[in-house]
Amino acid sequence: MKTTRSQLNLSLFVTLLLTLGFGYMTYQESRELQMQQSHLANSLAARHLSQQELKPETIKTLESFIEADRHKALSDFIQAANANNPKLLKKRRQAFQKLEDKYFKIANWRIQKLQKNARFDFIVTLLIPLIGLTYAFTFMNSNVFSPLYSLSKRMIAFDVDQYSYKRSFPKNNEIGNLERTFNALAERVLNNIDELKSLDRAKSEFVSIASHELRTPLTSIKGSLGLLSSGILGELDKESKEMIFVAEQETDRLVRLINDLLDLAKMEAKSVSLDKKWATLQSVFKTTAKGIEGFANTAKVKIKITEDVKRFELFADADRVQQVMTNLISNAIKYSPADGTVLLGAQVQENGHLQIQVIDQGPGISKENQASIFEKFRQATKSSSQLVKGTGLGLAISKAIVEEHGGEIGVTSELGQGSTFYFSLPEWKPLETKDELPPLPEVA
Amino acid sequence: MYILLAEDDPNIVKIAQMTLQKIGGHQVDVAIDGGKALEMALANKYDLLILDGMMPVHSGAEVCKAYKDQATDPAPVIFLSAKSAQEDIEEFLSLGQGYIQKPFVPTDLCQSIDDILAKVTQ
Repeated sequence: MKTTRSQLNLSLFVTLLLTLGFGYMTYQESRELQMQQSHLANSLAARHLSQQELKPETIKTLESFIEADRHKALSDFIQAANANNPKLLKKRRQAFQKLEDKYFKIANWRIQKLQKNARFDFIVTLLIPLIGLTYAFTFMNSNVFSPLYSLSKRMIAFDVDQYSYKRSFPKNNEIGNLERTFNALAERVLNNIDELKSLDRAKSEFVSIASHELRTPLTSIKGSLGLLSSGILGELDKESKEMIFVAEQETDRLVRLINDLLDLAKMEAKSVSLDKKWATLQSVFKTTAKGIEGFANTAKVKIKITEDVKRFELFADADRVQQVMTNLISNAIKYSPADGTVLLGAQVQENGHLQIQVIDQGPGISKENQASIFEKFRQATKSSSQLVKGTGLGLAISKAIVEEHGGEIGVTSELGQGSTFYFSLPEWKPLETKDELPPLPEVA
Repeated sequence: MYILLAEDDPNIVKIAQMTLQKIGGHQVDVAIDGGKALEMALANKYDLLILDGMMPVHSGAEVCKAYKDQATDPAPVIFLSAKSAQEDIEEFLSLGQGYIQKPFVPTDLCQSIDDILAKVTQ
């Protein structure tokens, strides 16, 4: 596999090598240049000194200026000076000076050439890392950063935009591998979702067919009992009537159970869409209370609404919230002693949600039972009142409804101290009091 | 009233027929599947059709559609069904004049029919 890393490493290595090579060459050339320059200066000085009379110190200086290859000419020159032969001295001086001139010319030529080379190599030494780094940056950009950016964009879109996914064709390198892994994961997630959806459909279908099939025989049973108890088929004696009443009650319970199961299955399948609207809490409470007034009267339990309830407006599915309230209030009534009171209240929680409370004076619920009563088919104790038998699904349905609204449901209770059932709703506002406004004129 | 009751479950037929006759005082014809129901509905002049949702041959909804298309002066249609899904109820209400959920209370059945018909004639 052609990896981005090895390609980048190679290009950086080549850059480094070339930089070092040209740098070293530049260094060598500049040293050479220095040397040649000092030679040139020496040669100039030697030529100048050779014009003068050769004193011992002049000879010493001259000797230090001249390298070994030109010593012969110098020593011949010095010898001639010592021999006191002006003719020979002149000849030797001329020979020496001629040599020095030649040497000077060569050194000068070399210096010029070296200067040119050193300048070129110095510029190349500076340019190579510049070119190398630019290449590495462009390479990283097109092979790492921009593919990473587009991959992260796709991942965010997948997360935010409900699993939107388009197949891509990744390159054969590290980022390409990453992208290929994401593609595989995304495809697996989408497959799983499809599978879950079809399972969910199968489940909903099963529940709806099962409930239809259960309702059909129940229709016959309930109908027969209804006709019998209506008296049109002939009057029944008291005991027969009682038996039929029991059968009717239990049939109704079965019908409720089927309805609740269907409702819960729908809530769990999230196939219920909430119809959220603004409604005053008081109006929702009042409708609920009206619905279970008869039941409360029979159980001799009073329902009281606190003043706080009037202060709030909800943004929720009123029918569903009513279903929750009906469930909590009828539970409270069921477990209340005769002549007890069920109190309905509301307050704002610390997290800003509106909390609605149903407070009863019943026997209370032990800590162990408090968590499990919101599960299906869990009832802490048998209800004291046998007026309406529960299906064991009411709180599970209520929990699903409240959670679908983004709220929480719970209970605080102590044995013998009564219970407070509460649920919270995130969307609410304080009710604007219209007391200051003049009453609207009535239109006939 | 002269009513056509289309229902495939014989026990429910017995109960509904008895209820309509004894409590409501209506005259009732019975069809035991969707095919017969459509035939009878088109052949006779009924005041009301009560259709089950799920029947052999044609479903209640299919019978209702064909009947409303073919009859010259169609009578009101009420569905009597054990289906309770929101979309089913919406379909029943869009096709017919009313919907009664099974199981029903016999004494309430005639009242529900009267209520629906009163709303239609309004």
